Amino acid sequence: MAKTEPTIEGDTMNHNTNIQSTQNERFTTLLLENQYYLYNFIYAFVGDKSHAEDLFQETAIVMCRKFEQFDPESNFMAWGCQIARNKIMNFRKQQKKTSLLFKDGLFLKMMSRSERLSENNELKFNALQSCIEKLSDKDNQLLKIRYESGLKVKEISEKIGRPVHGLYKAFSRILDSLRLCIQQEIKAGESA
Amino acid sequence: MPTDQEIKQLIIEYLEGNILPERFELLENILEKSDHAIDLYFEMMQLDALLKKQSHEHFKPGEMDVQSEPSAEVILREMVEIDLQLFEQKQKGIEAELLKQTQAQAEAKLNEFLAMQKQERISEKSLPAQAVASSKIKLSTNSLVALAASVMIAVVLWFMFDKNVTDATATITALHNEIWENGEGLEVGTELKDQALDLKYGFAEITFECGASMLLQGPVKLDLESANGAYLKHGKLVVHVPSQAKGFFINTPSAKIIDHGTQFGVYVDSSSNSHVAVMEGLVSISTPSNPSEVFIEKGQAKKVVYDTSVVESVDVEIYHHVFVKDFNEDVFKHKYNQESEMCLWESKKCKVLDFNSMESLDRFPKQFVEFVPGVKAENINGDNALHVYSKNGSLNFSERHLFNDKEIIPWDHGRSWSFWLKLNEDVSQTIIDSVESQHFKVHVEKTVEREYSLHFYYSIEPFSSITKDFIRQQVSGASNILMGNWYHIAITMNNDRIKLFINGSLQEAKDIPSSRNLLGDSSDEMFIGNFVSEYSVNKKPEGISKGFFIDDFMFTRYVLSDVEIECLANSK
Repeated sequence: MAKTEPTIEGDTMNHNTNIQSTQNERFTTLLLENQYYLYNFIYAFVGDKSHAEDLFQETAIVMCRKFEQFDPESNFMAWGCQIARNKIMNFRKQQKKTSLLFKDGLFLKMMSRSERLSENNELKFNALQSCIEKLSDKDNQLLKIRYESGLKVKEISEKIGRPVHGLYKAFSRILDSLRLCIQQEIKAGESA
Repeated sequence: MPTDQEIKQLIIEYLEGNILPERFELLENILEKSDHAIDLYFEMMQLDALLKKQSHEHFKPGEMDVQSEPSAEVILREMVEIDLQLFEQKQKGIEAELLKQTQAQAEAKLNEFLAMQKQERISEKSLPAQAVASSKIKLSTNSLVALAASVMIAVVLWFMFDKNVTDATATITALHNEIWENGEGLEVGTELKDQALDLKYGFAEITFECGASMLLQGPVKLDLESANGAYLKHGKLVVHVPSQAKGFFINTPSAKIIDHGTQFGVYVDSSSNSHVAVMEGLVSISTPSNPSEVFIEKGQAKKVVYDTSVVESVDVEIYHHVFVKDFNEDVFKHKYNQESEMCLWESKKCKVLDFNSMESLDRFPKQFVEFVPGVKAENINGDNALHVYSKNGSLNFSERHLFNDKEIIPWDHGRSWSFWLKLNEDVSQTIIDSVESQHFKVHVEKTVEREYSLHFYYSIEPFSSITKDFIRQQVSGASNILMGNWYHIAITMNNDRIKLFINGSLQEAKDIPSSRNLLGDSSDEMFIGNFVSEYSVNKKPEGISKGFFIDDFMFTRYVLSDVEIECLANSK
């Protein structure tokens, strides 16, 4: 049986398939890297876990479909936020006024100041590692319970037998020290 | 104002999803009043996301307490493979039976994830606290990955059924004072697709799925042609294109404008000529008769003549006042308005201030005019004042127009200006300006942060019989004021002296350096807010008001006495 030469159509198809495969991989990697930031961006405006998850999903669908339009040199998170913004707007329109949603004026103001959620995420993430190391063992323990176990402050209070109010204070303090430490680390990195 | 500590606690409660309605209201009030609180809110949101990510990466799948089940991430990768298979099958025109099999495979994966997510919810509800703590290590770290995976499945199904999901081109993201022609249902959040828009009045921001956004300035007619561009039939718009949306285009009757990552304004005038001004980056234009691209850089402008397709270079300064570039919350505050940006605030709505808003009061017939009658500074909180934010020009008037003078009346009986003023932008700016044979001006000069000196300035150029020339003579004075506070300002002028009063007290009195009568007359034009000089040498705007509130503006054709001024200042 004579060997058939690969057709031009076949080459094109393979080429397209390879491109699609690479695109999918890239999208998956970028989405995984940014999922928490994007989710929190949405949550910041809707304040409800299940709504935020739905909107995250809808946003990611659009991002995936439009991924070929994404400029690899630009900010994936900023692009995602732009798409999420439209979804959130639409969601607000459908919600009853009784929902725990920020007032229109405030919402727009917050939108205009929300860029910082897409700024320097990777730099800050790297800085966070060393900032966590600087925490006291006790604070570190609390943070682990909060984030690795996913417990809410009230649940932690029940678990470890400390007053809720005191725990809120402790978490505020820990988060604040991390926030400031990250800022300092980044500044130090810039001046180095 | 609550402390940062209290704000942070509110944010943590919000983040945990267990904030009570009254606590939410408190958080909302704090955020409304403080930009610092908003910034803190987002910093906390970002930090929370960083910690979630850190926690996820710290506990790798292999370290999780339940290792026998596949991780969501692994399944996600599998889903990508299925996605790829489907793509290949579509490319090859594969048989329907095989497609069905792959679809079934995708659906099975979807069910696997749904079960996984359901299990997570059951675990949260039924397990004792300790058990939840340990099980959540796995589940919480997987939940978002699972979401991502289900996204991929949705994408797979989309590939199968093509356009099952609504494919909107753009969304209306902001509106102000908008009046649409046949625009029922066009609200913030409305998704648009292949739609003709006819904005008669006001402003609308439209954001495309690609990330490009455009600010329409009514009146404007526009057809949304695709997710990457639109056809502008008439009117003005400004487009902001982020780097990922490069290639966004605007077609007009005379040109095609393609973005190369930028911000630019396009104006199609009544003769269908296209004007393009680039504020940032680079765009290219081509015309029907000349398809080769002409590039326009930042700070440049071109006009494409409709009839001839000739591309002319134009001084970009001309467009400085034409395009509204921003539509963020700060700009909302200024309530741009098409005809005049002077707003009389009523119930938080901007009512256009024009000559009809002014009235002559009977007690001083033909001698007295007051803007915004009946509104006192004490009640306004900024909301009922005349908010001056000048973009396209100023509110200008002449006495002659105001008082319907049949003849020109000289200023020889003196004039007075009385008004309440609050500066709300930390910049130097012009408050009142009048230029003709004489030049009268009130302006504020920034000295240090939030502090200003308020200047009056008067100059005349009488003809000197000695030098046989016009000699400029001027007088000026100043007093200090602070940003954010209301001040009563009064300036009086007669043939001899010009006086400045602040809050009823005399601050400056200067002799007018001329024995002649005041040279102004009732035909002189006066500007509030901005001064676009048709009289200055270079014919360019001398200054732009960045924003201030002015209330109870009064202009009299006589000199207010010191006692009258004191009464006005104490009337609030």
